[in-house]
Amino acid sequence: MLRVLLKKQLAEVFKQYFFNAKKNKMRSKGAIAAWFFFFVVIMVGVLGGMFTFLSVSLCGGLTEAGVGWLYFLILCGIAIVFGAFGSVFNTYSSLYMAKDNDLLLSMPIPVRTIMAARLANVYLLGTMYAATALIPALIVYWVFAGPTVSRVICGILLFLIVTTIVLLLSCLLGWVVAKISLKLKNKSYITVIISLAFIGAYYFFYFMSNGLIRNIVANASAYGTKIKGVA
Amino acid sequence: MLIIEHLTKTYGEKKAVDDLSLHIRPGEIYGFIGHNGAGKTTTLKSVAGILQFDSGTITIAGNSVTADPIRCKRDIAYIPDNPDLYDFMSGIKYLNFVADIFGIPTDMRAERIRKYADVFELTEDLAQPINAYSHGMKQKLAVIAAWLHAPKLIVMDEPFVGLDPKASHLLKEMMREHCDAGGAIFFSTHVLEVAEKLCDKVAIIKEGRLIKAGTMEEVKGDESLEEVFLELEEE
Repeated sequence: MLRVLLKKQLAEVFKQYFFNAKKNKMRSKGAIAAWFFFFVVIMVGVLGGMFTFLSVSLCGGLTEAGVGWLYFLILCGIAIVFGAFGSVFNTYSSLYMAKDNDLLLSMPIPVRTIMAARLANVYLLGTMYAATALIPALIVYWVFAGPTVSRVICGILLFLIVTTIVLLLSCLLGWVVAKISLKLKNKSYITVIISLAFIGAYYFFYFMSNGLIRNIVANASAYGTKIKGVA
Repeated sequence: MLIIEHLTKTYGEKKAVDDLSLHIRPGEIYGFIGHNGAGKTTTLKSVAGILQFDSGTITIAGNSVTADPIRCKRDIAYIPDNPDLYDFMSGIKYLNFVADIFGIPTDMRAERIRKYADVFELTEDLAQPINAYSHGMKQKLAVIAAWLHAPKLIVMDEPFVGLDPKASHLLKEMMREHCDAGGAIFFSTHVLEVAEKLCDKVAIIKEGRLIKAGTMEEVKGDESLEEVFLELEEE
């Protein structure tokens, strides 16, 4: 039953890939395959490539300076932010604004199974976004430092910890969005403003990134000492 | 089949259902009528296990809705007044989803889907997305989904809204067949002529309280159901 519900949840998340809203028709198998291929190109090719470049830029310098943990702190931080913010609107709609409560509650499905399916969906979506940053980070590190058994196991554990943090943060942010949206009057204007703010922030950091990376790598030891001091 | 005893449900300070008791036996089509906001949907949703109620008991085929909700829900089907189906699914995918939840074997579900889709002339539209369906088509799909697992009790909230005359007629026939085979139906309606012709028993609810219940003859006597209902509403 959990599998059936999860399949339904994922189909709902990716519904534009299966259904052409403009023509009100289901897409052909070829069209569905093309859309998913495009999705993979974006996620793995573009985003994964971007984070691979970032990982390569940071990993060598930071590991040589003896602050490999700073490398993981930065990349895990990016993965958490990307995962949580990338999945927050899905969390908001599937956990807090679900429209199929009556339908599911009228069927012989335990409430905990409904919740488990929704949380699993949130986890999978958050993991998908976080993985675009985290998996390149881990692979680049293993290439630079050598893939020992302990490093691989620690990498897998780190992946699980980061994706769990993404889940918790996504649930919290989704709740905040739900609370705000209940009180907002001009939702469409606010959505546009927030979207523009995010796009602005993205481009700001994008253009600053080269300088930031060079600065971090050049002053790795100093930053590492400062952070340790604060911690 | 269905025993509701002293059901009470409050929303804030308002009592939506107040000490309501009803018994529905196997083989009965039981109509539930009342003005808007009388408490019909609250009652039906409480029976379907969607709403938790403040006090009272609801028993379906001997099982308590509060103590054993999953067992009860296996024996019932619920059709809301405005079926909110999954727009992104096709009709056939939705029916297979429901069949998966109820664990209906593949060959049995295929046979039943074919049978009921042919009855409602929906077979050719099953491959289309539900988003492209009219309200009436969605209603037909919801009816097919309800009949799919052969429930003992079918709970329906204004099932005839949006159905064309032919589909309404077919639904009435299906309801009668279901009850003749030992099942029961509990449904609300504003269409009193339908209730008068179709129902074995009827209950009238007003402001959360049951004001009259019994067989059609007991409730209406020599008058029409509409006349009886309007008189009771004015009291």
